[in-house]
Amino acid sequence: MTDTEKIHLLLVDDEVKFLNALTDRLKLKFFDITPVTNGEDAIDVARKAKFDVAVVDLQMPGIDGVQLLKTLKKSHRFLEVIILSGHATIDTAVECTKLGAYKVLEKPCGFDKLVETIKEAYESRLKKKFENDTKRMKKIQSLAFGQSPLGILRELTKMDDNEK
Amino acid sequence: MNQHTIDLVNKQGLQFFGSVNASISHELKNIFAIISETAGFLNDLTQLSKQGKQLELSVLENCCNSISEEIERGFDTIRRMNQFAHSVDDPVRETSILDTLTLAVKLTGFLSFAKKTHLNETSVDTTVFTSPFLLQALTYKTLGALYKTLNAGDELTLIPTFGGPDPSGVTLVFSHGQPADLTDFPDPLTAEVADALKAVFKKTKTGLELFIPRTNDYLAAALADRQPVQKSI
Repeated sequence: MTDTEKIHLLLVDDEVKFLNALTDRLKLKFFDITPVTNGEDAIDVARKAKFDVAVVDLQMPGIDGVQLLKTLKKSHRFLEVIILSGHATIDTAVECTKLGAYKVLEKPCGFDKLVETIKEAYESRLKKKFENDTKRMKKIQSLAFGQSPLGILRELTKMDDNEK
Repeated sequence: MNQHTIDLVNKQGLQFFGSVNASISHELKNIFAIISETAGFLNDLTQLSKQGKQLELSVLENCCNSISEEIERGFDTIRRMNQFAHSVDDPVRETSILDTLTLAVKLTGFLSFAKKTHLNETSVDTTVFTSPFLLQALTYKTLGALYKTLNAGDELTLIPTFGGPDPSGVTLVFSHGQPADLTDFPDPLTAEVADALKAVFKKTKTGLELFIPRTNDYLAAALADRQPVQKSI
């Protein structure tokens, strides 16, 4: 896997030793990892860099996993979020799924299962992005007929706003 | 036994027991997750070494130290869990204040919103004749409520004063050095536990004071006909 093909992964967990151990292992699997220990930092780094998948702990001081999930899904439409928590219950799993989490995994989760889930989430992201790009392309093609250049630009701006 | 006290111990007690056990299990899950990932990393490095990649001894050393530390953390957590489980052995007994507070600080430390707490242990320990379980619940709930009012990075000091102006009891001083919003404290459930223990809260400018009577005849009478449970190791 080359650098450009690496999956860009955001890891969020307030348990520093777990975060470091998981980062060390995932790096060997050729993921590009950004580890952070709280929700505030996660929102900050997600604003500055593009991520394909985020793995998020549920219970953290400050912004917790549910709030972080909401924020990330709102501002990064195609980012897939996996919840990895020792506090996961059926209720939280249902809530997180409704909020758009790709999957809820219970800690400790087998490493192979986690890697597999990250790859699946990445594929899901690519698929959603591809479908969106295809729709967008069709829309642009339809706009090209019967619209003034200014009208086309206005419609494109609207489409971009909807994709944020 | 007084029906109200039975309800209190059964309903509140069970709920408290459950929530503490949930936080302990979360702590243990974290410990196992760290051990699991570190051991897995060592295995990954071994496989890479077999393929000819040179191993750095310092990395191996760090991994081994991390596993040892987590095992020690796990033992400590289980010791606290055991200590907590034994708080229900006797409905009422002479109860060490310092042991209760040490355990409460440790157990609340497992909460995700916990703040650093300094327990002043310079005083000579004393005991109060009360329900060890309800006293544990009361100090735990008080610490938990205070943590929620503090900001990230704030710290709390807990000072037990045994030789205070009132010799009929012990005053626990919870201080965070600045005003905090405690308008909703104590909540009805905590107030109910405090009432059963005849404990009294007093809000101060920089925190809370909790007065615990040295003896509690009401509680002793209410729980007098309850047989002690079989103690286990």
